[in-house]
Amino acid sequence: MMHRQLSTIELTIRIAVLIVFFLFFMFPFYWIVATSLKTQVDAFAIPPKWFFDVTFENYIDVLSDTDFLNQAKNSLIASLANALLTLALALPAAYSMSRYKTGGKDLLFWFLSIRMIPPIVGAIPLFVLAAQYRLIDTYVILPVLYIILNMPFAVWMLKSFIDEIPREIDESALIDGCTNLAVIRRMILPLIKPGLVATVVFCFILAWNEFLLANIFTRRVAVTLPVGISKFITEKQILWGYITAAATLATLPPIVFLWFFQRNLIRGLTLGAIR
Amino acid sequence: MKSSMSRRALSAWVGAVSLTALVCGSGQSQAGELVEGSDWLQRWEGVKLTLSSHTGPTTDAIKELSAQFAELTGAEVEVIDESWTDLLSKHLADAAAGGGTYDILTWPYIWTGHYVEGGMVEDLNDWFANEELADPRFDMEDIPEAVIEVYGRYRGGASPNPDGLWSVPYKFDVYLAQYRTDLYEEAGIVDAEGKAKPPETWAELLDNAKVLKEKFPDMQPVVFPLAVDDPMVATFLPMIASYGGTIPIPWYDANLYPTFQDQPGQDAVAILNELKEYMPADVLDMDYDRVNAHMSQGLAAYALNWNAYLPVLLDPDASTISDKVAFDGTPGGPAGRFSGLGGWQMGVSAQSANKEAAFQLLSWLGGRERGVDFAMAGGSAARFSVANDPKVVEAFPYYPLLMDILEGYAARGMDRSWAELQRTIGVGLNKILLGQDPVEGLNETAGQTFDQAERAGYGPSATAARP
Amino acid sequence: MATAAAEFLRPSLGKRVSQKRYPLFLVAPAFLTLFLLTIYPFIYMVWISFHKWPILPTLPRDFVGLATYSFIFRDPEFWNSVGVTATYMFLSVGLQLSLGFFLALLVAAPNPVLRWFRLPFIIPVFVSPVVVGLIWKFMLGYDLGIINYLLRSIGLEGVNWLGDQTNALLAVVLVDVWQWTPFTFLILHAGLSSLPSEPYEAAALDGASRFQMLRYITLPMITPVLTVALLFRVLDAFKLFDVIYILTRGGPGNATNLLAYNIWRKGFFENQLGYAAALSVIMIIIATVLALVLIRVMARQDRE
Repeated sequence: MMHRQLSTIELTIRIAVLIVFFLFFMFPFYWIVATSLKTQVDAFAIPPKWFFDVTFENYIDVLSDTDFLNQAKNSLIASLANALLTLALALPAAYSMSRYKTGGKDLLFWFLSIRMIPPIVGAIPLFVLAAQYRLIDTYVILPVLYIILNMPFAVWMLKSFIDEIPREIDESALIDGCTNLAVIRRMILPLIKPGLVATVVFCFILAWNEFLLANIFTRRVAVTLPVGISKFITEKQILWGYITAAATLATLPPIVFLWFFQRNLIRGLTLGAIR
Repeated sequence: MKSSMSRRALSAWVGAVSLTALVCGSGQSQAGELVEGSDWLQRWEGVKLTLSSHTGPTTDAIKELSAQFAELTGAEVEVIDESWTDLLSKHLADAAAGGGTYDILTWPYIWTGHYVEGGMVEDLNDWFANEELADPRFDMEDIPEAVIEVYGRYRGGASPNPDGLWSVPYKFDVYLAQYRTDLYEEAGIVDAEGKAKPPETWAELLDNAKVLKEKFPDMQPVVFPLAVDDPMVATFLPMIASYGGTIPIPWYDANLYPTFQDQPGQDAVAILNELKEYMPADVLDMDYDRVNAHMSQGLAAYALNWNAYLPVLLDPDASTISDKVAFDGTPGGPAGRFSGLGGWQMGVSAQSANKEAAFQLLSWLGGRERGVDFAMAGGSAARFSVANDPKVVEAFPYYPLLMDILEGYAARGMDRSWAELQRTIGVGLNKILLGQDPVEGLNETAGQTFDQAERAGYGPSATAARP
Repeated sequence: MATAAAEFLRPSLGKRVSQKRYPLFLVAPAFLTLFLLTIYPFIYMVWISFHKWPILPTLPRDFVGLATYSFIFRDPEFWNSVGVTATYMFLSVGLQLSLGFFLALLVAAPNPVLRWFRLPFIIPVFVSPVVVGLIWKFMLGYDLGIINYLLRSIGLEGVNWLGDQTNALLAVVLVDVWQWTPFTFLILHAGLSSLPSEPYEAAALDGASRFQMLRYITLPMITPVLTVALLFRVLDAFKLFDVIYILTRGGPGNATNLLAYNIWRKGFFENQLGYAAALSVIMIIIATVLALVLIRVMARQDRE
């Protein structure tokens, strides 16, 4: 795209507009955090209290009185296990499809088409099957199910990263007598490290935030954070203090990841869009 | 939140019980009121019991009572609370997989069909007759017969035993009215002694609303839970009953042929439409929580809600109106004044591995002698002894109102297709309140429920053709 | 035996056969896992859709053939669901793409201040939809919500967001746009950044106006990227569930009863698994058609 110098007026206008949108996108975050630091009565106050007595009671209550820590643990297990599992399956596939064009366009398309499936659609038969085999509410079920969500993305991302590495590197290693697996391990992996990380983090975040399948397939043992947060809508009243505190805590990991891996995450996000 | 005072009192209670049990070594009944009534309990060392419940005040009370049970019997009791909306599918999934996760199941009476027809719960008649296990002072007569009928029996279509007792009341929910004494008095809606006078009929409520709106133009005087599905139907229930709907179930007849579209339903819709003018603009998004929040923040003069929510209104830490609110039954109409029933019941899972222990736990939780403590801890008990207990009445002034159901109660369906029907009716009523022609809307909705009942195999066409 | 295996695992340039088979082994685990998780359940689901299927094995499971499907096609609830989903998708995706494109254009200049805006915008995408739904439910309350308060403080009337049929759907669109515009923004920003500068320079020499450059150079060149973004967002929007579950539960009435939510309700709340399965089959078919159409459009663009 051509880059011209912008006049000061235009720059100012642009920045002003961007600030408006910045507020639009960021304000809800301010609002959850602020509400999480208010007392119950303050939280509902109209006109809203912009200056209020800060209290950490909600956070303390959430961490001590509720199942939050247990749910966080479950979320961590499910997300991490799934991210690694997906990576282990997707990497060889991506390599194969990148170097040998295995399955050609059809296979690639098939992987991508999985992304089309609304999760609810798969949920019904999988629910019936899982109930039959007593897999509901185990630590195994979510990492496995989330493969459906993450695999297309992982394959696609990894393939793009591998595509960027010149084939000469492979070929020279092969000529030297390496097996394919060794090529992957010793030559490709180090070169696509940022891509690996981006993929793992992406899968982790998707799994971390997922609600529908977690809600259907867990009961009490393996309940994850999104489900836990939705359960705060109790019959007593909507505990906004709890909810916002829990929500703030639950959103921290993805934001932290985003902060540290932004370049690669964004790159991974936009890779397939640009030819 | 439940009052901190009763919580401390109950903790002291539990502490005393434990201490006594420890000192006496075996939990046998001793002198003093504390462990009275536990002589029928057996020891259940090493037994683990799981009770499935939903989040809310009653569950907290249940947890406290269960802890006592655990102390006295040596059993381990786990009370799981989850969001109630998904509870049914979780119970069903568990049963389908062979069961065994839960020993005591709880459910709102609208799902009873699933539990009974699916063979998921035990018939408790036999269990209560078992002298070795039953609580001799359980006192079934202390529970209104009407309550047993709704929360314990299932006489519907494919019931394996119409006289079977499948459960006992767990959380007694009656729709009650809450109103602001200060606003009513200021607006001059008072009785002969100058005290705030709550409306006895819906028409009277409408008049009240007009007066209140004039006096306080910035406020919407009335708020009902009208969110689609459960709240909408629950609110409509006492209304249609009071205009002549068949009691106790004004929605359909024995063949599930819809009756809510007839005159009583039309009349009820008409007055609801008028009342809606005096409610907040987004009242159709308001479920029980939001109505309660609305009321507790002092934004309405009159509301309807389940009694389980009311402790919040009385708690000065959570409510701005704790000293200005009073309670009454739901208003009536030409056909009388009826209480709408909600509520939950508990039964013993047919797939439990510890049915004897589970039954004893169930008796402990529901028995007469724990009633007052249950209520004081925030639970909602359906017992005369509790409703008339001075301690309870002082802490929760609306308790005696719960017993008004004796005069007449109305309920929702319990069959297996009720969830679907309720949804359809809720959607239909919502649409009418959003402007659709009432008669047309009611008939259209009736037609849909007819189809659904037909598909579920209940045979409404035996009564008449599709409306 | 060991040497045979070693030879198999070590593709040398002469052994074309094992060269061909080894890559398949690499793909196999991923393929098989997905196959087991999708194809087999899909077939099972079609089977379920031909029955009345209470989940308890103690209750009868009657074969009803296509009766459920014909009931669905006669059910006004179904058509309402389709209509509502289509409306929401059209509005939401349309807004996201336009807004994302607009924002991408705004930051498309070599100014460090402008470039700073890139990161903050992306955050909504990474928040759980449950949390998003909860925040907005809180903020959109008519009396107690902050949005109406802000509107009223600048002289406008409060909007009945969640209690009115049309507004509730708009609220859903609003929330979706809020969460996903950052995504389209990023894709389009990357797209714009990768456009070559020669056409612009040439056009500038010819005296083209900014608007003309936008219309005749930028838009055509960015269209492939736009289409990809469109494809992704359409398919993702189609699946929307979490926000509905938290924000409106399908109401008021059935104004926001989107397909995915409807299926969940039928299957897991009303326990009509046969009905829900049939709806799911229909939903997959619709999704497939949508994807195929969009991919065809993309392929046609590739050729141009």
